[in-house]
Amino acid sequence: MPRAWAVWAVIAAVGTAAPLAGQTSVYGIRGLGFPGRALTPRARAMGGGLGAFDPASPINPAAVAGFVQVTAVAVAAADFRGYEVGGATVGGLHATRFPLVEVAGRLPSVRLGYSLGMSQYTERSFDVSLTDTIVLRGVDVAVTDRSSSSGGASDIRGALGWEPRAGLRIGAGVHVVTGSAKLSVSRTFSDSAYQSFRRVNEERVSGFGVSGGLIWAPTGALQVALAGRYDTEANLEVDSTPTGTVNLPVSALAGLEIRPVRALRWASTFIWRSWADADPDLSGRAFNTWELGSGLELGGREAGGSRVPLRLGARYATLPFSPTDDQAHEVDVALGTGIAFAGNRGLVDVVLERAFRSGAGARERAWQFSASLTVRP
Amino acid sequence: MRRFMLLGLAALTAGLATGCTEDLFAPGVGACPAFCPPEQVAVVDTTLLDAVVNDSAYRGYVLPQEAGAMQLVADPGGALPASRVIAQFLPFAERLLLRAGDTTTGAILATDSFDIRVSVQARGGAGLELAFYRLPATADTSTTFAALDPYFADSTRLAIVAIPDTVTADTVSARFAADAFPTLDADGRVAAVGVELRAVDRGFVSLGSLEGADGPILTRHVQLDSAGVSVPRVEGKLPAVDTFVAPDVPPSSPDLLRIGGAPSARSLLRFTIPPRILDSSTVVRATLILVPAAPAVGAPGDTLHVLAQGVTVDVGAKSPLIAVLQDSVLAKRVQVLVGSADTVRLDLTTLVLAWAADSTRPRSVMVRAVPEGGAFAESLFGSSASPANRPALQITFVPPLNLGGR
Repeated sequence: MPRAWAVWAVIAAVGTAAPLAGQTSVYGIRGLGFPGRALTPRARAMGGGLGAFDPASPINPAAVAGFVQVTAVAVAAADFRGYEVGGATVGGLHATRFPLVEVAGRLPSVRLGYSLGMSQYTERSFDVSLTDTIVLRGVDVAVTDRSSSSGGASDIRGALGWEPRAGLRIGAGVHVVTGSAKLSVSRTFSDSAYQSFRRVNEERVSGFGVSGGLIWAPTGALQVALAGRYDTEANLEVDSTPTGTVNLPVSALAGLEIRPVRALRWASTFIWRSWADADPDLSGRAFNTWELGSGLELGGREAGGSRVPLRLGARYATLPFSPTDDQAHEVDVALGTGIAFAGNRGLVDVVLERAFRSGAGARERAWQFSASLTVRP
Repeated sequence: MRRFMLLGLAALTAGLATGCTEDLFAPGVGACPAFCPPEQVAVVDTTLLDAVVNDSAYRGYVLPQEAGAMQLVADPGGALPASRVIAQFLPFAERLLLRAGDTTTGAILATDSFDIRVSVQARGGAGLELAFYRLPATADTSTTFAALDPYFADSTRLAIVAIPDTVTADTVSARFAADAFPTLDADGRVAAVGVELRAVDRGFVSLGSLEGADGPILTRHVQLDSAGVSVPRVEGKLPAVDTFVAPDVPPSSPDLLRIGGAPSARSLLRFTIPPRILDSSTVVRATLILVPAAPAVGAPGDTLHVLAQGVTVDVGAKSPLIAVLQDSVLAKRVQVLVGSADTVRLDLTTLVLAWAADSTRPRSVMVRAVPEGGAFAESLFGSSASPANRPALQITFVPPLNLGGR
């Protein structure tokens, strides 16, 4: 298959698949939604620890210099969730999404990597219903309210990564934060004399950002990474009418990777985001967040040994949005692997994660499964 | 390993095919509002006392001779005067066919008798009797109640038939003698019959009419000449005209809204609803409240059904009505018992929603009786000129709700 055709086939496969309405987290109902994790399954399987160094995970533009050839990456993810809140236990929730798609390559003559991709910035998908009884015209009337949102914001990034000399990579990126959510609220009455009510609005969010980063490898067994990102405030519109702005966070990232032997990689990434900047713009609370992810990769195609690596990771993260003054947090453990085929021109990586979230009076448990297809024609 | 990956991809594909709903809140469980979206639906219910403006009542939409029923009332000593039915039948034939399928006719040698059959559609009271009288062949829709007085006498009575108390909807027949219509030939073989209701106490009967495809039938039993042999034959005739009449009653106050009666009356109500409700909010229920100015009048025990209909164009009394399906009529009509002074509430939700969706629609409603014109039952309601019992609009709505709160 010609190279271009293979790349565009991956993009088309993702672009034509319409994400279904689903729910990301009970902690994504308020605020801007649940923050997306712009990571490949390979990085997620290592608890996100590889994120600062992974060329295909768009959080450090310096890593873009690590692309060695034209590459297309698409990620699909599904989660299965349940939670407890206020004495109510909810289970059997599941959702599917495509959180990352990217096309990248390298200009070998100038050792410059380039990348254009889209990842999930926040997701605000939920579908909740409640029943109540109200008094209308002196009579008790049972009502059922349903409130849903389907959509979120995406982060479109264009990035360049340069490798001026062996062991040093620097990069910069520009970001467009854009997206929309279809919001719906309805009420039905048990008394058919009352007409049901339904209101649907489309909310749009837009903003911009820039990012920069570097990766320095003082030895062949050690790499460190630093990156930062600044986003403007996001403009909000409901049905094309401006409704306000929300400050988007400044992000700072630091990473460490150690390879004591060729077949073993240990990577950790720390990320801080100033989500509290958005607090004045929201009805709920917004908090600064930090997360630390760390993981191991044993074997794999770069190790020269087993073609099938084993990846293990864990992650702790605080969550930005809460309906109360209590900030929620999340703990993840991950297990993953991958396989190459077609002479290393195709890669499939998978990860299974177990997430534990709690705070603000709620507890949530989720199984998350992600898979990526990487094509290098 | 490849098998493991295929299983994983299969699970992912299965996830694509499904969606789900969170049942976050149940009665008695306090998950909301913390983990619910900030936008909550609020419902407001209010009564607009000045929503009805420029209302008027008009009479004459369905005349008694156009109605689907003819009401006979007996109210001895009561407020409602008695009424009478007039039925002028189509002319009988001069000759009749001897047998079906043959064009040979025979001359009528003699009349044996007449039968009349009327359809009872509704009744009220006990011990009712129908009295049939011979009327001049010229009796028609222009004949007044008073002009009939000489013909509703013992000398012109043809028959009296009791309506069994068990009969609520059935046919009643009476037989007249051969000489019941002595001037039949002179009148061009046209017969006319008057009907009156008799009751020990109070009562009414609604008879089917020609317009309702259930009119009276007058049958003549004759002897026919068939080649010198006399053979019996019958000939039935539908009315050319049937109607019912009552004494004129003095007009009531022009400030009142009238609905029903014979000829039928309708009331046209025009509405002004604040834009904050009609344009900016979502109406979920609207109810027109009509306050009686007096108890509903009509035959004792009778019932009036009241319906509110929108108009396609507001041109006053002749405003064409928006068609309503029969199912909707049955669902939305409101029953008013004669003698009742209860407030009447009519559902206008569909109409008000249509007004909100299209500002060019006339915000007018015609309130009428269904069916119309076949009974004396009539409701009198206060109009917008009546401060004490003016009509009102009770409206339940959801105020503007801007989604996107966080």
